[in-house]
Amino acid sequence: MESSFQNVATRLPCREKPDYLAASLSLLVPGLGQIYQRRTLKGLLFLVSLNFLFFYGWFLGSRSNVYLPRAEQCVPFKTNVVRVAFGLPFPKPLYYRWQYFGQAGMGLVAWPAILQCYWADEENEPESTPPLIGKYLKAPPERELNRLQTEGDASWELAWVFTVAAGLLNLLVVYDALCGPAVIAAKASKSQAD
Amino acid sequence: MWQSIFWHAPALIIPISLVYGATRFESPVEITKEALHWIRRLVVFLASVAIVVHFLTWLV
Repeated sequence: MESSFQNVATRLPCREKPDYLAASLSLLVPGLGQIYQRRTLKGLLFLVSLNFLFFYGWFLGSRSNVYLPRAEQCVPFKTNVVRVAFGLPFPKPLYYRWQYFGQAGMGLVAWPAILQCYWADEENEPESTPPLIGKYLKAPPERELNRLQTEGDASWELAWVFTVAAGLLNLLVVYDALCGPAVIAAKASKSQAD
Repeated sequence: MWQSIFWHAPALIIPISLVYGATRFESPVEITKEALHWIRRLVVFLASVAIVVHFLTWLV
């Protein structure tokens, strides 16, 4: 009996012509690339599942867990970058909100946070918001973040896990649109032998 | 008990299992089978962690 380790998923070679357009569509909207490829059922599955996962987590986190903090609000206040290993500069908002690395994988529903991060001058125009998206994914005030993290149960900490999981799964969806399903090679060769 | 965060577990486990299964296969039957496998694995793993954490909390 084969052990599970012998069935470790190894990808089949990518199809001869990777579908970059479909992959780009899936990066923008999960599942859209599959719908473009006429794999409609699968595309709808990705679209509904990933958006459900993302927005469930967003609402569970009181709509305050998908954001990038403004650089001037993060210590040290006078710089826009943080020096990491070997003195390499790193964007300060991402350094202080690393969860956004995963959340950004969701595409258009998560990217407005980048625009919000660099849009308004909080000192002179605190109420200014980008057109169309308004306050969507705007960084909440620090006192609000403190309240959410100290009051109630652990829901706020759990909520961002949903959004990060959705974003990371969309990277697999993008690969699926690019190259097709990542079939377990051992099962594939067995089915071919049959 | 009604405010337990564990009530959110199905909303996390089911979409993750379905999406992961769908990135592995094309056939709806295969996707469903793979998703059910992952649901079982995730439930067992999370339940094990919950039991261990609960036990440690009780010790303290």
